Amino acid sequence: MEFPAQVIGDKGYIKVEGDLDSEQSGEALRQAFNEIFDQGKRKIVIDLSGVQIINSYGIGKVLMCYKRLKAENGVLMVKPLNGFVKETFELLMLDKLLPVED
Amino acid sequence: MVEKPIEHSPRLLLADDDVVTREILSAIAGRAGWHCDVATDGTCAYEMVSRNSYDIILTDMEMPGVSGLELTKMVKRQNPAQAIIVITALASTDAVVQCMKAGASDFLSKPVNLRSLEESLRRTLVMVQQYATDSTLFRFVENLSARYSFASRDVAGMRVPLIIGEKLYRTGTIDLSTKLKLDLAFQEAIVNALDHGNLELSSSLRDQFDCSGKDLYSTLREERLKIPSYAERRVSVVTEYDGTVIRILVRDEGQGFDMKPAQTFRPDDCGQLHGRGLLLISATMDDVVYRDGGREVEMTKYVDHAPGVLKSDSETAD
Repeated sequence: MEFPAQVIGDKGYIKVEGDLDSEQSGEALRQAFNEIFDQGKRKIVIDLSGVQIINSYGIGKVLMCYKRLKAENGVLMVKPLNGFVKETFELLMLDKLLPVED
Repeated sequence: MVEKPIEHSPRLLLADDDVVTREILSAIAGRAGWHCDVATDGTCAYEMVSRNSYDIILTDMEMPGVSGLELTKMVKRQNPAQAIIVITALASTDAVVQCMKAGASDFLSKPVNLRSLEESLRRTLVMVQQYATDSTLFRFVENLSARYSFASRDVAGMRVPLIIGEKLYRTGTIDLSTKLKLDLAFQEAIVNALDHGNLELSSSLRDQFDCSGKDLYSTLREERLKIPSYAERRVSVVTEYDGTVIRILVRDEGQGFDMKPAQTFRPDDCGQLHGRGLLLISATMDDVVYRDGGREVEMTKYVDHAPGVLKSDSETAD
């Protein structure tokens, strides 16, 4: 499983495909993140528009990305939050932690 | 074939931007006993679906504006049970896969063969009628239970499905939001049982990383899944539905897990990568009871379902 990752300007974008609730999807996110992080980008956007379910495992992976960026004064954003994923983020107050890119 | 009186005919909506195709296919459907409405494009079709009830929607995949694929996705979001047959001229497997992933019941290739169309309509109608029967019967269910167990290594890396949730959703007994909540709580309970219970993995390992950025939790998990004393420990699942309540019991054979992180969970503390799973379970289920040091969790969800028409889910719509 691989998630498309691309750099546009000073930002990196990761498109999550499918649900973010398994070891495979978590590993795919980690690899996509590393690919962009290793290119020196410190503004990274995770596109969750295609995600229907994100569980604590997936959230943990997202937060690990957040922590690595924060340690280097970087910013992790998500886009956009819809449906049940939005509900889950709000439940855990992650919508206040991770800005949503317009 | 003798045409049935319209009021007893199954209802078909045909969406195609080509007038000749519409005339031909609607004539074929009419001779086969269908009451057929036509839409000239995807937008028109969606409006008609919003106002009327159809047993089957037959749509061309390639239409300007709202395509057949987009129409399928839009309709399925509002009514997951709606049967849709897609007609495609594209020979690629990808196009067919896209349709089926979007929830289409069947597909036909252009040029549409008369016999193939009739057969597809017949087959899909049987499925629609069976679904209606199942949905009706589920309203009278007094007990539906399942029991299954598996070793940790059997499901490593896999998503264990909540069969009862899938069944209740497909018969319209629960809506999409309830299904997603059940799925989420169940997945969290399974991960707790497998990882923290059977594999004895501490959440704190998620905060520690190797030089490649991989967390030690994942590394140790992979190692322990190769050790029989961990990998062969089992997880047991019992699910019950009595018509109003869904109960899910998950039990592991490990050390249980530490519930303290959940009890001290501070959502605004990003440094805490654990405890969220337990919070998600308690937030999505109506009642949660932990027993035997966390080795067993019983989750309860009350089901409100109205008889009759399938519920559509606007609350999870984008």
